[in-house]
Amino acid sequence: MKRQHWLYLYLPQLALDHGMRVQPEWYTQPLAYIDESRQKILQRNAVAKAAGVQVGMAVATARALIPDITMVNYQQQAEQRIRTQLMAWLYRWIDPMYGTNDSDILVDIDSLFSLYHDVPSLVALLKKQCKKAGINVLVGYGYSPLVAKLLAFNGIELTTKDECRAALQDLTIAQTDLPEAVKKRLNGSGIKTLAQFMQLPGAEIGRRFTLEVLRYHRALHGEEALTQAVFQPAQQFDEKVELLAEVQQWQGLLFPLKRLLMQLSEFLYLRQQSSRQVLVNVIYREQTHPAIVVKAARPIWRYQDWLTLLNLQVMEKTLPAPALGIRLRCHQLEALSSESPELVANSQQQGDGLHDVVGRLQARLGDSAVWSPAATDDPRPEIAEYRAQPLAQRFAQLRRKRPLWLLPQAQAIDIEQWQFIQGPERLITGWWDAQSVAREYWQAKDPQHRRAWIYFEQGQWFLQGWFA
Amino acid sequence: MQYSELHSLSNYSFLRAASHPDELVAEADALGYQALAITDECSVAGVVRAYREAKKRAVKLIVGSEFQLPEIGVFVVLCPTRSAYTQLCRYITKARGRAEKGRYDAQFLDFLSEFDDALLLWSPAPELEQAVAVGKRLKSYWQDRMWLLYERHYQDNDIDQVTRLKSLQRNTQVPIVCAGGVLMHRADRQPLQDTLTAIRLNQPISACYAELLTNSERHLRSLTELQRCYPDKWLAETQVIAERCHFCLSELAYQYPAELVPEGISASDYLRQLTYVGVKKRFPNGPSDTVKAKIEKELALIATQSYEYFFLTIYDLVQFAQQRNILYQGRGSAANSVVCYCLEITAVNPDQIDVLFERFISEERDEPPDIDVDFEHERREEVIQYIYQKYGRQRAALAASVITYRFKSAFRDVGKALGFTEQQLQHYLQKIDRRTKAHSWQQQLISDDPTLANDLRGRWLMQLVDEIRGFPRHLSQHVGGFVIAATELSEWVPTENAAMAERTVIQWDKDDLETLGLLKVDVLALGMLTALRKMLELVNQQQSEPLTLATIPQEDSKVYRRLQQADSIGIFQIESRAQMTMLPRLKPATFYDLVIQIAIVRPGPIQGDMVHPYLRRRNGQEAVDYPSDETRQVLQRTLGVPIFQEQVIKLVMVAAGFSGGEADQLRRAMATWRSRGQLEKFYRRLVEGMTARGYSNEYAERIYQQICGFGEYGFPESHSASFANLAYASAWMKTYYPSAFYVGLLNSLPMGFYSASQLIQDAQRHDILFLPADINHSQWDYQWLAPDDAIRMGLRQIAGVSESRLLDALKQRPAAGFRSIDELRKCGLSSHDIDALAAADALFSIAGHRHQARWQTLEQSDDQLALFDGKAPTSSTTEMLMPQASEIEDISEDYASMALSLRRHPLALLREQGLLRGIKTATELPHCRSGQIVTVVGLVTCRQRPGTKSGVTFLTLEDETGNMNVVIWAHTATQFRVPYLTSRLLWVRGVVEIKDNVVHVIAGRIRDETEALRLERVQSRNFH
Repeated sequence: MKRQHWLYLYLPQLALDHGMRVQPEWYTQPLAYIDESRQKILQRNAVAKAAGVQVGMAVATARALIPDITMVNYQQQAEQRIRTQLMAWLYRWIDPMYGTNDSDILVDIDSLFSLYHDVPSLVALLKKQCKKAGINVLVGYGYSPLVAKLLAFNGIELTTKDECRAALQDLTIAQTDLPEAVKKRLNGSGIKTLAQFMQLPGAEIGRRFTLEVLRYHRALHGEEALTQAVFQPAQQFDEKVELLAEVQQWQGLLFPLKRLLMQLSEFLYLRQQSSRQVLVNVIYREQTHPAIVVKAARPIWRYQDWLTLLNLQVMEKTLPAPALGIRLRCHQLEALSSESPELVANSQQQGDGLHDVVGRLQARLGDSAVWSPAATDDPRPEIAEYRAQPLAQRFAQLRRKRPLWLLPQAQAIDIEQWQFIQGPERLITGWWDAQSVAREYWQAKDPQHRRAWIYFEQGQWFLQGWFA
Repeated sequence: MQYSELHSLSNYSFLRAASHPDELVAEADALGYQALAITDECSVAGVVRAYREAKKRAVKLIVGSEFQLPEIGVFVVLCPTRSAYTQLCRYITKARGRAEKGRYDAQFLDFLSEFDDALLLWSPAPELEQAVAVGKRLKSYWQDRMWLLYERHYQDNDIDQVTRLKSLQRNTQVPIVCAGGVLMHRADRQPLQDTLTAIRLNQPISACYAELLTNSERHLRSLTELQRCYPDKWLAETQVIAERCHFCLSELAYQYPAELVPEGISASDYLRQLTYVGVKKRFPNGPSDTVKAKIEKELALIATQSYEYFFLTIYDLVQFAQQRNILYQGRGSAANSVVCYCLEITAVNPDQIDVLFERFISEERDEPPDIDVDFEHERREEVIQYIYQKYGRQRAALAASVITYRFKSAFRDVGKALGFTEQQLQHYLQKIDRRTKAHSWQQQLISDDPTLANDLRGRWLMQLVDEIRGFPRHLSQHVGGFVIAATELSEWVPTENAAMAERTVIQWDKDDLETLGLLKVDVLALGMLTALRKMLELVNQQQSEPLTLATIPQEDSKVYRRLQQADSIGIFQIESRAQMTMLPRLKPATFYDLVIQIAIVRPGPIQGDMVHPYLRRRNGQEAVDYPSDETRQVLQRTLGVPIFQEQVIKLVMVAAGFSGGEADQLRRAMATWRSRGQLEKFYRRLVEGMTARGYSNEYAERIYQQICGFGEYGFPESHSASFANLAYASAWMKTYYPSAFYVGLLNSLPMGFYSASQLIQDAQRHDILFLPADINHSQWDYQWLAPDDAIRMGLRQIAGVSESRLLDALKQRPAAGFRSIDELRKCGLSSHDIDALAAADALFSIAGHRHQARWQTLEQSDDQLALFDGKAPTSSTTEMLMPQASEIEDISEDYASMALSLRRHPLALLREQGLLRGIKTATELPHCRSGQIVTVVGLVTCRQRPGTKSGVTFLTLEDETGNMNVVIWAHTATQFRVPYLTSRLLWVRGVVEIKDNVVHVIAGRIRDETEALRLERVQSRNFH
């Protein structure tokens, strides 16, 4: 049976809406999402709009208007993740729905009339839910998906078929999403309105345009085949927030984190699920750090519970570098009813042996006591060396003659006791940060004939590490 | 102890090393080195700069080059003799010729055959396993001209290297020599060096630690340090090598192409002969005594400097151009000599303008003569091909032009290397106004973001950007400077591939050539010459007595009257907004007035605040006086006000006591100050010199500002005179043959200042009728339909049509015209061409109005035909009738397709609809009272923020009656940011200001009215 009632949820600034929801400071400073390759404005907030920044404007012009406007590179994938999340939320009320290529949502409402008796009440419900989620939406109704979409794109929100038909006829070719080249040709032939276009015999179109245009023409007349798959809610939670400004303290991360946890709560609740573990990744500019694992002794779902656990874990910590964003993941879901009172994880669910050992060691000694040694390319030994997540990385290939193990802190030594073996290696570098070094390194032996790596800096000799 | 550094790279090994060649030379000299080899990677691009410095110092310069051979190691080739140098140049040419631009391909076998006189230092690659075998092979070829190279940089593996080299020495009997592998002249360049590395790798520093230097040892080290570092024997070996090197760049005595002079006659006599042949032509009534004396003086000067071949080379080129009927014009300091006039290199009669200075060929400065020749821009390639054909590609190549770091590129690259984001840098750049002299850019940056001053990264940014400015980034080709040699060029200097196919460039730029006394010939392109030739051709079709540039009547008062009214759109050099507002003030009435007019609206005189004094004196509002008698001599012709670059140079000599040499340094510094900022050091010398000689401080300050202005855009009198010649010629055309004038211009676009739309509107205001483009009446070019004095638009105006296909189709056009679209297709036009023609309404005569024509065209598109296997489908039984375009639609579609419309101006429609009530038109403005408050509306055709006036923007608005100048002050621009930046149709309320017949509207309020009019392709030239 042909479906005849469609709603199109046009989400004109989904990425921006979502960003503002998790970072309220986005409300008060001028901000825009841009298409980086074409250097055009795609979405902008009210502050930027008030200063004259328009969608479609060149980035350079926008910057000339507001020199300190914040520009965020638009990523469709990221926006579609947000859309999926929104769909998961709306899934409570409506089904089936489809994600469109434009990051919008299409709803087939033929089957929903038994639940919601008319179109206006359904539209009102969807608008209310979107508003709750902080998302701007324009809802178009139509007898085919394309009709609903065109009306939504043009901000025409009607709820009867006749009104739709009339409004559709009034649209200009420029207001459609036909390919630009097609629009140009139609306009060039004097076809300026959709009414004119719809009146053209299909054969005349077929003679002049591609099949795609012919399909469009048919869809306007209600003959349209859908290619998208019906939405199915995801079974895992994985969300990310990018911060507007770099954050130095954990304190600054708590608000966005709380938002994420609330989303998680919602996600779990909708699915009637719970979990014993979430992973929190803080995203830095250069380094990657292991995820913070927040474990619960029993399956939980309320965000308050997660927040308490997380607070306990991070309270004492400082951020190693300014943070750019955070990511929250929850993979292992359990049905809410299967709550288990036991405190220790069930051995059946465990992974491979080595990880298991590490996990047990961590549990016994504390997370920070178990790590793998690793080194970056930084020429300064003590900065290069870092404690990697256990088993996460192989020890970096050593390029230079360096001991594998450095002392946590170099120790001053009395050079009289030492015998030089090889050197010097001069290390003068690190001018780019506050930890520049100017040292002369030697391999030397101590009175016990142990081979060590020592250096001279600013009038003093130091022991840096031992060769194995 | 004696030491010679045999392996050092300058910043001409692009992004690999952190010091200028001259810095290396100066430092090596200061450290007491005996010699310094500049050995840039597969290049000698930096050696001339080093040579300039070395001439002043005791240290000996050795020329060499480094080659990196993967897995074999590094080869350093040094040139002990001229023949070794030739081998090196040839080899660099070869290695670069094998690779794309900017790269080279050096192969091991080359080093066993190409260098029978050069010296080789070899630093074996650590991973090379057959080092002994390779060493023995090299030794068999290089014999005692080869060394193993050891460079100690205090790494962890120094000892392994030494052990390895010593063993190699034992096994191959090749001696070891040490060197520094120098990348910077002083240790404190290490941060810059690391930054360059990051830029080269296109990564922030934090992502390329492994590639950075781990210490600063790669600088020129003191003799004491070197002694601590190397055994005496290896140090002594550097002296052995240095002493074998005798080659000096001064040996490169240039030889001119001999074929220019017939056998049996000397170059000098031949030049004299040609000059006197020319005299008869140029002075039919016989030359005056002054002219004769001048010729003799010039010839004598040319002979003492042996520049005959240079003049003969250019003579040969212009002869070729004459034969081919290509218009050309010489300019430059030497060009305005009587000899050049007689050789027909220039058209400016030196008698007429009485060349100001003897800046003809300066004996004192030993500076080669400067002659640029402009050719028609559409035909310059013919001249270039002639050069290649006559001398061969081995003997002729373009000079290089060294692209260096300017402020913005430096800021971006350094900033990215330091890890700033593109956005941050963009933001900072916007906060910096480089025109503000009051605060350095660093101060401006800190006042915007005070945290930068305390932030280490910020401090490095502020320091390193200044350090990197002036660093070369890559070699590009000079716009048209050819070097022609008597023998193969690669014996003198390596050549490499240019970005443009079939072009080669040498590794030296014009300064290098000047230093070595090698001459270059500038073959440049000028659009106005193309237009003038086309104008002359059109005029000559109408009359029996052919008109040429030389026979255009001179000093015609009607021509000057028109110019005084600023009727100068399309006229060479004096058509810009700024020039147009100067014309009614300066009121040029003679050729020399034009020379001044062209030179005065330039950054030099404007920044030196010389414009108003000149105008006041010219109008008799201020007495003409001279600060001193010496200056009278310099400034007499320009009423005591310095206007031209030569005057300012001469002025610093007579008024500030600069020697000829110092003045010359100043001239050079002016040419490069934007990149290296070396003008400041002359400031004190200038002001002190002038005040000591009794000039006011304020005057000295203005002269300095003028010098800075010339640095941005130097403009000597000789250039101005040549340009004035073309300005007059085009003005004469516009006055007497306006149709030919516009057709000539329209058929030479793109060139000049104005779009086709603006030119056509100007023509229409001069009562010239334009007929629309039509496939059955138009040619590719615009045509002058002489009997009716109308112009038929050319099909070239239509966007998106193929020139070659259309020319082809036009050849096949039947006498009665095409009758169907199908016929057009059969003549080879693609459906794309036909669609474009239909969109421009050029198919009216065969397919009806543009909508109908396009609908019809669509049906027969290429894809559709392919479907039907070549047979056109029968069109629908009943032809659909498409709606005809309304007037506004027609105008809009004209703009979309041709960027202009011959129909009514869009503003005329708005006015007719009553939307512009009470709004003044461009023609009404001059009749307003100065100070009156008015409202105007127009299309924005030009936004200009001149570098010489901070805070003001000039907008040109166009309505159906003409153009209006609107002045927007900074505070208005800020207040109305959005319309100021984005509006295409602008509403302005402001005050009319009328002075000397120049009308401006000073904007008080502005508003965007673009929505009232939806036109796609109204063009504006924004902020140039």
